[in-house]
Amino acid sequence: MGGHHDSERNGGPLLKVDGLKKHYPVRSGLFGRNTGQVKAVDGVSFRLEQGRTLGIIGESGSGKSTMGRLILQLEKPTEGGVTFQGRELTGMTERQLRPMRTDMQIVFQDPYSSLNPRKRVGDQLGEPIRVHRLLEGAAVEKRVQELLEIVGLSGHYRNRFPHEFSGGQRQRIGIARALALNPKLIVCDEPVSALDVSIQAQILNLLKDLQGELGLTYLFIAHGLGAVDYISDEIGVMYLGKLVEIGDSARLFGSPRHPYTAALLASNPPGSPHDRRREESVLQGDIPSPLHPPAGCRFHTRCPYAQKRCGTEEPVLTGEGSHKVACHYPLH
Amino acid sequence: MSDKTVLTDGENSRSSSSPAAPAELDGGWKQLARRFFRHRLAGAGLILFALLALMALFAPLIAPFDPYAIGRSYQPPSWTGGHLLGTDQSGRDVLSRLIYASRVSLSVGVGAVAIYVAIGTLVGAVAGYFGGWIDSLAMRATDVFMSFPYLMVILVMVSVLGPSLGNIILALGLLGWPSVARLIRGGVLSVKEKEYVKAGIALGYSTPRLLFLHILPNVLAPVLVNATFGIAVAIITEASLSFLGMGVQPPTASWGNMLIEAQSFSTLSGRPWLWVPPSCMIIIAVISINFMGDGLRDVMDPKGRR
Repeated sequence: MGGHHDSERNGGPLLKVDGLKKHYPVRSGLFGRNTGQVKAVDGVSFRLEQGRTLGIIGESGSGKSTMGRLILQLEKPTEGGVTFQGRELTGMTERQLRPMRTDMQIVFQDPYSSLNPRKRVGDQLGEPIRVHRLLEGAAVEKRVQELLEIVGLSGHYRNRFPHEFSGGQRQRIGIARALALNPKLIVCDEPVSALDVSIQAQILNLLKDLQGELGLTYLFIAHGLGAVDYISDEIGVMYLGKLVEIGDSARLFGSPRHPYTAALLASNPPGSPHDRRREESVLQGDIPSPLHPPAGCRFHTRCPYAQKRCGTEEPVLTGEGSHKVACHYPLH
Repeated sequence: MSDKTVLTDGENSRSSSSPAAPAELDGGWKQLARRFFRHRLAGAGLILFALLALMALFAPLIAPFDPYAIGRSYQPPSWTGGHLLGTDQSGRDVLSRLIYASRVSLSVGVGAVAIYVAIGTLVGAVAGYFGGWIDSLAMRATDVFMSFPYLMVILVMVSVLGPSLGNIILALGLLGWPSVARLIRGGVLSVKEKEYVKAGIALGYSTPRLLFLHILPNVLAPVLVNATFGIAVAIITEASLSFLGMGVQPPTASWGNMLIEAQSFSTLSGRPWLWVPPSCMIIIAVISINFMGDGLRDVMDPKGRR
């Protein structure tokens, strides 16, 4: 699957994220005074090479979906930079962004909300092609048919409405729409979380095959560990808006260094009853509110190995090579 | 690619093995029209309304008499005397006046609603989509308009502008938009958070394209129903204005002012041909319009039965 050979062409990674932050103001009272901030994403940095897949995992509320939207500039970041194909996106106006958008697309989690219920599938797939004038006239229809076939659906389906399809089929249509503009990067925002397990595998295989065929780069956001493991080259673990560990998929799953990663892996149900482990470190309690994140290491309130220092001093993401961890007392 | 084979999700095998139905080749409007006529009440409403519209359009050809010609007053209806629905206090033919009145009443209803739906849709869509101070401004303006005593303001406007048909349409149209604006704003607020709108932004669609081609079609259904009721209300408001002397001025007939002219006790008890026909016309117009609205709402929902 996808190689790294393309990275030199633009003299850098396809996507570079630097200190990305998104703080939502909390307003309350009669005059809507600013009474606090929800730090949904709080200083995330990483690089993503062309043709590779970076999986992002974390509990609900860890800011992973927000991060995906920030990268695509669907929401404006509070701080930090997003460099895509060597160009800084954060300062751009919507008008400047529009031509760039052909190269970066998104597949959403909920296939029932991601398609316009009043438009025929063929129109929804053809519209972006027409808007960006990639093709004209009958060629658009041909491309729509081709897109449907690429994602494993029949070309006849272009005249149908979204409600005539099952969840898995809709997700395929969502993928076809993301492919319509021949993008380089696709942010997959939990693309299989809303689907039946049997269909999850089909969609994952489809995404993987498409990556091989079209040389796509994925930012794959998920909370299901299985899916991420299967599709990702690298994995980033998020907790309360911060990246706590990032590294090569096999190494990170094989020997996690952050206690949170270890706990996430331990809470993943084993594939077979024979693999059943003793319950080592099941996480207690809920993720703290991002409105008042704990001081120091954000995980220290739930961490089984927390020391005094963890409550005061915030750890930085460091490590030799590609495997980095933000912990004062990493495992191993 | 491993699963290039078409059909994987189970249920598609059934739907695609059947030959593509000819319906799939039709344009969207044809199918909409077919579904509309299959909706029985809507079809009936449309036919009734079309008849009314034709009647209004061809009034001079249909009316048996000149609606303003004066003759013997209070003649009861008769098949032989020529006056099918009798005559009024000035001896004018009721049937002819009824036919001419449909021009006034229908244009007041349709005209006023067309104006206020257009204003309300624009204000609501812009307020809901852009939010912030634009939204606050637009919503305070609708609050102000909604707090006006409706009939009083219309009376003032009509008396300042002069009680002509055009001014009545304008006054009703300029005052009716707040409820539409609120409906649209609420719909836009919820639809703009949908992922298909986010996808539209990601696909690089312009804001007007997103707002008018993707969001609005998904919020128009309740407005359509609101508009049909609005036509009925406008027809009745015109009648009230006529009653207060600010409506369409006599001798021009509207269903409203025909009713008003028939409100003396002796007429109500002894001459039903003066008030039953215009009442019936108002009821028929309102019901046919409401049926059409219901039908349109069902038909425009793509999830409805086909």
